[in-house]
This record gives sequence, structure tokens and C-alpha cells, in this order.
Amino acid sequence: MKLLLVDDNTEITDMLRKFLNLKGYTCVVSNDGKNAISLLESERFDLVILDIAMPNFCGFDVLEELDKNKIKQNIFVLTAVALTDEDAALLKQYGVKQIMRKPVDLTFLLHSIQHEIHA
Amino acid sequence: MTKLLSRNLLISTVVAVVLISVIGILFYSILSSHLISVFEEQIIQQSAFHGVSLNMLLDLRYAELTSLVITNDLSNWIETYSPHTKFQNPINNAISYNQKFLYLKDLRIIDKDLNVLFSTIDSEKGLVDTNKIQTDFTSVSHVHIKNDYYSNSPIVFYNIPIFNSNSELVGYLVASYDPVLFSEITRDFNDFITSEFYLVDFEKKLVTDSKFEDYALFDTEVDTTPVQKCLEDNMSYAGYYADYRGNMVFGSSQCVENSGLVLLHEVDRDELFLVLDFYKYLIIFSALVLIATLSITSLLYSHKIKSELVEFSHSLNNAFDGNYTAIPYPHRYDEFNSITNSFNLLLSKIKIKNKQLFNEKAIVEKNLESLKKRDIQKDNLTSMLSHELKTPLVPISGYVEMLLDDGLIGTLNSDQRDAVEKISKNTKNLEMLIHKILYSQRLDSGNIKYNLTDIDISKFMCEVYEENLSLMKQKNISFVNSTSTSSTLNSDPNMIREIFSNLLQNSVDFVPVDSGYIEINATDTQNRIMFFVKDNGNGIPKDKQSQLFKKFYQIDTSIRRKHGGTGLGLSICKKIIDDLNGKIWCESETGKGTTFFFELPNAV
Repeated sequence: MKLLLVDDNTEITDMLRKFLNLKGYTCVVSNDGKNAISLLESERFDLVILDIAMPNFCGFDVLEELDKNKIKQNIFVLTAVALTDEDAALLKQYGVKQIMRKPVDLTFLLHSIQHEIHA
Repeated sequence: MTKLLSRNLLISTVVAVVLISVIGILFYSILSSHLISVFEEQIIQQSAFHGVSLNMLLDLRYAELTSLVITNDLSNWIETYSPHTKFQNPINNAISYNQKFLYLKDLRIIDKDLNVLFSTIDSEKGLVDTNKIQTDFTSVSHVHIKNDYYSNSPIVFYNIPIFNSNSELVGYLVASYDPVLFSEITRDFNDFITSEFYLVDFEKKLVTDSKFEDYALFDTEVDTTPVQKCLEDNMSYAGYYADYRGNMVFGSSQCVENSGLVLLHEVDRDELFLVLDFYKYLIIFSALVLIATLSITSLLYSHKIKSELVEFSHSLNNAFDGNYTAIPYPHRYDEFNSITNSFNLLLSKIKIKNKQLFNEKAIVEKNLESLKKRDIQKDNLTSMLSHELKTPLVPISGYVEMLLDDGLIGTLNSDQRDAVEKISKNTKNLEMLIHKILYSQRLDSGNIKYNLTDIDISKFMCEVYEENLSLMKQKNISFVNSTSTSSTLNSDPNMIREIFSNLLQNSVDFVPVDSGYIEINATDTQNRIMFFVKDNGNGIPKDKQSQLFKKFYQIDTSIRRKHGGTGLGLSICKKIIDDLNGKIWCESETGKGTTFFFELPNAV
């Protein structure tokens, strides 16, 4: 099971990768939105965990780009920023399966991933 | 018509009427008195003229007859008269004298005993001797007019007394004249219908024909003021009096000296004043015409002015077409021109002001834009703040969780576990605090949008119960949902959830361990739903209840430390309830548990 972790904060991506590796998942990390796009274009992932608030190319831009290039992907959004209902609706439109708030409960995250991938 | 115009019109008309009336009356009275005096003068003058003529006429006759007496030496003839000389003709060609002397008809010679000695009348000739002719004139005056015995028509008798050389009266020469003699005198030559010239003798008898009464001659007595004045005082008279008919007349009299005749010239007073009537009506008519003309003219002019004003005001109105185009000058009155001028000036001022305001508005809008941007930035600041606060918590809570997951990254001894658990609890508290602070801030700044929908209350309460049940079970709290109502409420369910979440969090913190009891309920109360959260906790003392819903308020800071509350939960509940037009309050007593009630109306 290959996951893509996208967040500009390296501490967070390190921590998540460590946890998910220990739980048996392979993780690819990207700390930049543009970089994430090129990765998503070249590889296939079982799930993307995507941060919203990133400099230069935020989570929304990534989703827009994926949508434009018609790349279908399972995506969880992990965000510190409070989202309005319109934002949430937009994310749903882009095919985001879950929206989780930071700081995330790791157990809850694990269950959600399991539910999504193995369902 | 404007009130002002019509009032002025009324005033001017009234003033004009009064003025014209006054002038008319004045004019009339002046005119009338003038006219009357003119007429009176006319009458007097005519009568004077006639009087003079009459005098002249009588003087002439006197002269004629006197010359007869002298040339024929009639005094001698009378003195030497004897019946035997009866056939003598004392007066040479006596008969021919009536051709010579104008209007002379007959001559008689009478002695001082009033015996007729000689007469040109044939019928009297034979009676000369017998002294049977009785003349019925006994007057001493020289002239009188009598009805003729023979012809039964008026005759003018002129007596000339004959004196001898000793100045003794010996007899009279009696001449009789045709009354046509006086026709010139009594002829009317004025325009008055009721004007009359007539003669009255010393006996106050009418001796000329009356213009008005038949058979008045020698019959009607004229005992009027002028006659009296003439016969008694020998003075002429002019004035208003009642004449022989009883009518009021203006008359003028002339006393004819030595004849006992009074010449009268009269005009009916009514006729005199008739002329005045004509002028009176003429003046009234002219005044009325004048007033009518004035009124019509003023009406027309005021109407014209009004329509001009209306037209002008329309053109003023049209100037406000959005562009404030200046109005053109009307080609009429100076007053309008000056108003137009002021108006256009005003318009240009308005234009300038508008431009000014427009510029100011642009500036204000620009300021608003920048303020908005700053506001947005502030929001972004808040978002950024929340982002920055939460970001470090991710690895903190993550690694703490991993440490507590026994065996994942090693095993902790009991002390280490203890420590890590404490870290975990405090991290969670921090998390909660940050969340609540940011949530509260978003509520305050109105960034939270309420999603109103129809909520099935009974179903909703079941959901709330289910959502919180595991937490209650964990803490061994007896949790009850006593809702029995099955109404619907139009409100925001997530917000109500948030309220329950906060209230339940508080209750969970304060109920006794192992014997804790929390009850949730919703009841229908006339178009509102009343919810409550009841617990058997410590209760809240009455003196602290008023401050409960304030931010960061805690009953006891020691409790906070123990239970880890944020002090924001209740203020968040209050804000949400206020936004939904509801009410929140608590009923509690120390040691007797607490019930938090909140009531929400239908939003729609």
C-alpha cells in the first residue's frame, strides 16, 4: 500500500511517515504542491494525505490541477485552517473523501485509512 | 391662481371700486350742482331778457300813445267836449293808427268819470252820448289784460292818463292791443318741456294762456312767492317754489314797472333734475364699465402671470435631468431672467459639489477597499495564527500517541508512561483551548455561517445521545435522554450539537465519580423547543450564576486546573444561542446539581 503525504511542514510529514511505516504502509513524502503534482502524474498511489495551507501552491491548487488533468485519486485532506462550508463542498467536488483537522488523532487516522483502502 | 395673486387682485379690485365710486360720486355732485346752477342761470337770464323786452315794448307803446295825446291835444278835446261834438274825430285818422301802431286795435277816450267820450269801436260809437258804456277797468295801473266784452278774447288795455296844462287829470286815452303784442315775450325758446313764460296781473290773475291748463286765462289765481314779492316789494325773485299748478318749479320773475304785470319764467324742478338723472346713470354706467374692464384685465394678467410662472417652474424642474443642464433665458421679463441667472448659478454650484462628493466618495471607497483588505489580512492573520498554533501540535500529539502505543516505538516503564500520559492530557487541553479560542473568535467576528434546516427533534436528540454515549460510558456516568417530544425545529443542528458538546463537557467534569448522572431533554413549548442538560454535580452557587456566560469565567480556578476546562464553553454557547434568537440560563444550587436550560425558536 503506497501513500503520498503532502505537507510543507517536514516535522509533520516525518512524524506521519514514521507512524504509517510502523503500521505497514509505504509512504512517499512531498513538501511542495508542484512536486506533488508531478509525483501524482508519474505514479499511482492508494491514498493521498494532503495539507491545504501550503505556500506557493496550496492544497486547492493541487486539487484543481488534478481535476484539470483528470487524475483520479483517493484523497484525505488534513488541515489546520478552518474551512467554510463552501470550501468543504468544493473539496467534496474534487473527490476528497475525508477532511480531518490538525492535530489529528493518529488512531482515528489509521482507522480511516484502513476503512478507505481496504473497503 | 396663487393665493398671493388672488388676494392682491381682490384688494386692488376693491380699492378700484371704492376709488371709482368715490370719484364718481364727487364728480356727479360737482357736475350736478354746476349743471343746475347753469340751468338756473339760463332761466334767470332768459326771464331777465324777456323782462327787458317787455319793458321796452311797454315803453314804446307809452311813447306812441303819449305822442297821440299830445299831437291831437286830447286834453283840450276832453275839456271842451260836449255831446254835440260827438261826431268829431278827436284823433286824426284814429282808425289808421291801428295800422300805424303795431297790434293796436282800438282807441277810446274816457273822461275822468270814466265815461267813454270817443271809441273807434263802431258799436260803441252810438253809445258815446249815453254814458252807458261801462268800462270794467278800475285799475290805476297803466296796463292790464282783460277779456274783451265783444270778442271774448283777451285784450291788452293801456291807459294813458291825460293831464291839462294845470296838471290836473282830465281823462284817459285807452288803447287796446292784440295780445299778440306779448307773444314774443311769452315765447319759449329753450329746450325744457315744462318751461313756461306767462304774465300775471296786479290781481294775481293769469293774463296769458297757460301751457298746461285749459281755461286758466283770467281764471287761475297765481298767488305764488315771486308774484307776492313783485306786487308787494317790487322785487324780482328767482328760486324754487310751488307754482299755480302746485308743482315744484324753479322760476324767475320780472316785475314790469308801472304796469302791474309780473313776468314769470318757470321750469319744473323735476325736469331740471331729469338731466341730472341722465348724467347720474351715465356716470354709474361708466364706472361699472371701468370696474369690469379693470377686473377682467387684472384677471387676464394674473392668469397670464400664473401660466408664465408655471411654465417657468416646469423649465426649472426639467433642469434636474441628472446632468444639471443650465436652463435657457426666457425672452420675457427681467425678473425671470434674474431668477434664471441665480438658478443656473445654483446648478453649477451643485454640479461642482457633486463632482466634489464623487471624488470624496472615490477616496472613501478606496479607503474602504484598503480597510477591507486589512480586514481580510486580519482574518488571514487569524487563520495563520490558528495554523501556526496547530502545526506544532501535530508532531507533539503524534509522537505522544506513538509513545503510548505500547511497542510501536518501544515500551515505556510505568514512570515514563505516567509522564507521557500527563504530556498527552496537557496536549489535549492545549488543543482544546486553541480550538475553542479560535472558534469563539470566529463566532464573534461573524465568520460562522448558520445552516438552517428542519430538525426532527426526537431523532436529533437520539443522535446527540449516541454521539456522547461512549464518552459517558468511559467515565461511568449514567446518561439518559428523556426527550418525548416529536416536533420539528427550524435551526442549525450542528450548532445545537456544539452547545450540547460544551454543556455536556462541563457536566462530565463536575459529576461525582461512579455515581454521576446526566440527563438530556428537549420539550416543545409553543413554537419553541426548550432543551436542557441536567447533572448531579456540585451545583453553582447563586452569587456566581450571573457571571457564568462570560468569557474565561471559571467558578473556581482550582477546579479548572483539576478538570482542564477552558472557561470558553459557556460563552460560546451563549453566542450561538444569541445568534439563533434563543435564551440560555441555569438553575442550580450548591450541592443540588445543575440544570442548564436553553430555548430556541423556529428560525423561519
